Amino acid sequence: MFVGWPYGVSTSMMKQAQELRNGNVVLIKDEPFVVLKGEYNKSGRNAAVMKLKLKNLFNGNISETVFKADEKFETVILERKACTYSYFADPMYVFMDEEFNQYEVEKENMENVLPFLEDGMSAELVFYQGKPIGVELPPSVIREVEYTEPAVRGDTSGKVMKPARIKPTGFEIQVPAFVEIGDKIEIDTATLEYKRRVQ
Amino acid sequence: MTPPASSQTTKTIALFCARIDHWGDLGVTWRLALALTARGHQVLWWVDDPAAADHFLAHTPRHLAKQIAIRHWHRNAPTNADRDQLAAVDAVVEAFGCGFCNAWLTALAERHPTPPAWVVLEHLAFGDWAAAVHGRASPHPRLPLTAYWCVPGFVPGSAGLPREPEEIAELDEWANHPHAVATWLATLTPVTAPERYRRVTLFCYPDAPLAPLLTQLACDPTPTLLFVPPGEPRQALARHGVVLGDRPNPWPGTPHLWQPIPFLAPSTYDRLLWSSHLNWVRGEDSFVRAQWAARPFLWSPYRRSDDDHQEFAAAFRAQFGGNWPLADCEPNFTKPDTWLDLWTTHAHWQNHCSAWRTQVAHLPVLADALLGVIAQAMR
Repeated sequence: MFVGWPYGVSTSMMKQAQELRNGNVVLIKDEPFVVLKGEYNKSGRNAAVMKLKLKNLFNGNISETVFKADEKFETVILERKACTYSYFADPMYVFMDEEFNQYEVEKENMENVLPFLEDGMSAELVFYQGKPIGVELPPSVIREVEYTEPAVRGDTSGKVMKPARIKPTGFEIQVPAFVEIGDKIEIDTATLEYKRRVQ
Repeated sequence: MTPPASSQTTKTIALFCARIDHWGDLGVTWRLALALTARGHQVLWWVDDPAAADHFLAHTPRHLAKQIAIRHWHRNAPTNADRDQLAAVDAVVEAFGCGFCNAWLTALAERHPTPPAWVVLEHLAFGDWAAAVHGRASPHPRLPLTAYWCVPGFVPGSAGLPREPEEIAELDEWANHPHAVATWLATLTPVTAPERYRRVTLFCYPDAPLAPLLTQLACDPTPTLLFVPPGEPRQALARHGVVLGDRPNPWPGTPHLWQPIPFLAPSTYDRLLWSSHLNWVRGEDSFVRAQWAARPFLWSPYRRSDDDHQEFAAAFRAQFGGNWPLADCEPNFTKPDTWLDLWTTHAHWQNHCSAWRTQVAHLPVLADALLGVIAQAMR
């Protein structure tokens, strides 16, 4: 059990590496690391692994590591606050809470959010020692397709995919061939994959 | 207690490996141990099945075998003698998912004055995954240990493939001396003039779908000598009514002969692959060695209950290219003329295998890549 910090954060619960998500904070050798990006991999007979991009909250160093997917970590439960995205003040992204307090988030802590960022977007800010260190999106978001090639006639199975650019970021994802410009689509924010077309 | 090795160049490396079901993983680590000693390092081969270790020892030239210290790996917890051995180790290699339990990890972490370098050696991987993971660090969440990944694969940036330094040159030399091949084959079989036969090796899993192959082969008029290793390949044949003893068995009604062979030293089996026209291989080690042999081969990947091996085989097939007679993940002879077609296209297939070998020969050699990761872990 971790008992080292006097910062008022509440600890803790154990999580396997494969359960970690962006914004989670884990303890590695008693130092807190925020997960900037996580990617699950499995190949043939090899161990399932999680590639994690981690930022050390003590010194700011960023590292890319690989853990066995079932490696257990003590995670730190940090304060969270519902906010909305307000504006970009280079190089910081500014969010605001219900009481109009503003919080600046560094770009490197926004990697998972940038593909979907739009003015007024709701998100949950994660704080460590009073400083926002991560942004958590809802499990899915709905965005409008800005551009995609017209569908080739004859294939309506939904298995054939094509690239589509979404508003307002221009982020590109794969969508089924039947999706058209102007359609609204639901996107999984964890996998960055198309989920469905929204009426 | 022996002090930790201090030389910058010579390292003492502990290779840990477990016997899962076959000899494959042990065989790869044994050859890796030999490769490391050939590069001037001291190796402790720590295995959980000492009888299996004796098996490899008995099939390795004495002057080479005695360079490797064999240790019984008590997987549940290290003994005092194990801890004494660990004191002299520069690096530990956790091979092929054998896994250190907490007691072993604690022993490594408590090694005085510093823990040894720790490398996780993975199975052969396909695609970019190998390069993406190879060399990455994995700090232990609680103990003062950091593992580093070593991932063999078919892409630059991975740990490459196991290969002996002179393997390709020796093989080319071998191919240019049919007389030497004939003489060597005579040591393996009492069959008269084995060099005049079409030669096939059959190293398959016990449930290999052999029925259509046997049906087609029985109709082939070209005399074929089939080399069958002990164990599962013979079980596969027995399922189809072919029961082999110790001697060559004529196949009634055909011009073919079955030649049962004993367990061979890995380097001897390599030579058999080089000396055959077609090799059916399986798993990883014989699969890689068949690629160095640059002879047409069929491959059964190691089976997994989650069917991952199908994806594995498909990934290899896509990278290997060519018109390979392998469907799904097993050599497939369900079409009536597959066997005969195979020999019609043999020369083309042979050229493709040679070109493929040239391509993968540019990849790193696994033993060198492992030493690179050890050096990285020791920094």
